[in-house]
Amino acid sequence: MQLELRDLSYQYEDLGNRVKVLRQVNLKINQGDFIAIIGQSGSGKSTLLLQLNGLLKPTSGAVLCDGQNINAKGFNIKRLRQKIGFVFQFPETNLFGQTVYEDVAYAPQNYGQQGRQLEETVDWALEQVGLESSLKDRLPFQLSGGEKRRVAVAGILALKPEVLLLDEPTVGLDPRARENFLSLLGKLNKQGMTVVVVSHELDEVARVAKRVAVIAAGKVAADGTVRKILAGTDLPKWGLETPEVVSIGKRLGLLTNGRPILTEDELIDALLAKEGKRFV
Amino acid sequence: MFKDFRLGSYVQGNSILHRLDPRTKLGALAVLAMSAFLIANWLGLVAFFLVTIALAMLTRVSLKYYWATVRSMWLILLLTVLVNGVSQPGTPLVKAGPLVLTVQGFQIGGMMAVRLALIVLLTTTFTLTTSPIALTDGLERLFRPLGRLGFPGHEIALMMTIAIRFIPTLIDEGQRLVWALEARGGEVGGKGLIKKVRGLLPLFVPLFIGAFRRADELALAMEIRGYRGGKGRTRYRELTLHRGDYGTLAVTLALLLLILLLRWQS
Repeated sequence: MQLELRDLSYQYEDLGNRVKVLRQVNLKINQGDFIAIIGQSGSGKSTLLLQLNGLLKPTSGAVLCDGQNINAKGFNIKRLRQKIGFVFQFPETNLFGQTVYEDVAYAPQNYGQQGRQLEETVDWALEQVGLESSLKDRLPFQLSGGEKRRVAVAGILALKPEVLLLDEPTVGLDPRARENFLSLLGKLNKQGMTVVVVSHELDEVARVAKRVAVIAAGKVAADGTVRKILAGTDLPKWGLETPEVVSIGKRLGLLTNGRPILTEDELIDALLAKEGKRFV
Repeated sequence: MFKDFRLGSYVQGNSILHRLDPRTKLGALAVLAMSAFLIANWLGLVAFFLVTIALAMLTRVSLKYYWATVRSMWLILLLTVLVNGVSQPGTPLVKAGPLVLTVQGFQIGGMMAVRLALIVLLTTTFTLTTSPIALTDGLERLFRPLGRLGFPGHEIALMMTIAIRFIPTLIDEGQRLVWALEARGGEVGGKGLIKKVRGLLPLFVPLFIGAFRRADELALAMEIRGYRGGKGRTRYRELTLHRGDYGTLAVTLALLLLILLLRWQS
């Protein structure tokens, strides 16, 4: 599935004041992309994500899914939301069910699954996020932060979506949970799922994303490969900090295959290659 | 769906009305609302309407906004006209089965609806120019004499402040929950009341749990900062009545007297 934002603007009115959140945004997201949307707080990146499955409607311009306007009359938005999963920033927002089972079953139920099939879907989704199926009868609000987040993601994966939208998915997770979560995203993307993630954590973005779009003042300020954007020199211009690994690589003048360093592993390899003897 | 919820919102500003003491505005609102109910002829209502519009214009908030608040009450206004219209004996205007809409009833109902609309306009003028904090400060001060009788004025004012403060937070959270529900194929706001309510049911548990959690955290945060109730507590903003306040009260009371006089004469 290809998603496209075309000349999309979004504004809302607050007691007669117009607040322009997005201005003339153009962005294409292809099947299998792993794209991170980054930008300062208040730049409009979360709003952009909400546009992608029609939760917010553009003031002008359009959101196209395989060329079709998703906000047009007659377009089946419910079908679209089956294919596009949305994981909200706070897991509490995602949890409705009385039990973990009910919660994960909520979405597939809405799309007509029941009986054995539903149970299998729930088991499958819990397994995907690495949760024991013995958790099924627990109350979602008694779980730890990391578990809640995984239940929330399982509740979305249960739809078997083609596209996964995530808003700040690793906030509030401990390092281990964060690690697990990032590798889950990587795994899903490898299986062919499109992943769109809004994030402040540029170090994480550097590790998992393939492509990065920068939103500044409601516009797409830059769009390119993760290396081009994060190892480039323009990040401060958009109010963003250069990832630590990138700064270290630059400071030491290290390269990997002639390109700037992006990840921790690349940095270690480059250091070993250059200074290896001294460390041993 | 919650975006339209605008009742009781305050707009920062520095108009004459903004600067008045909240107690003055509260008193004036009460007197003016009473006046609206005492006026019993159309000419008086039109005159009063002009006064109300003048007051609304003093806030410097677009009149469109006022129009929207009145429009959002159209059903209540219409019902007021109809219920009064059929419950008064008189010259029949329209007949529908056993119900007879009379000319006199229509008159009375119409006046009642206009009064309601006027009170909505006045209240909107009040809330637009009075921050919730100022309002509760004013109420607390007004309650103070009752403290000797054991009336917990400070606690009630604090509860009001907190309740008002959390309305936008809860609306935001509700909106996010609705989105999360829709994103998972749930339907909110379907056709028909039962379907609508059933669609909202899954929201209640998370909304309540969130509210309780927040209340808990707030209580803790207040205790950490040494909150120990209203006794002996000094105030950051001391309320004092100025010349403008006395003037406002005098003018509104004079208006009330005038209306009483006119009513008594006729």
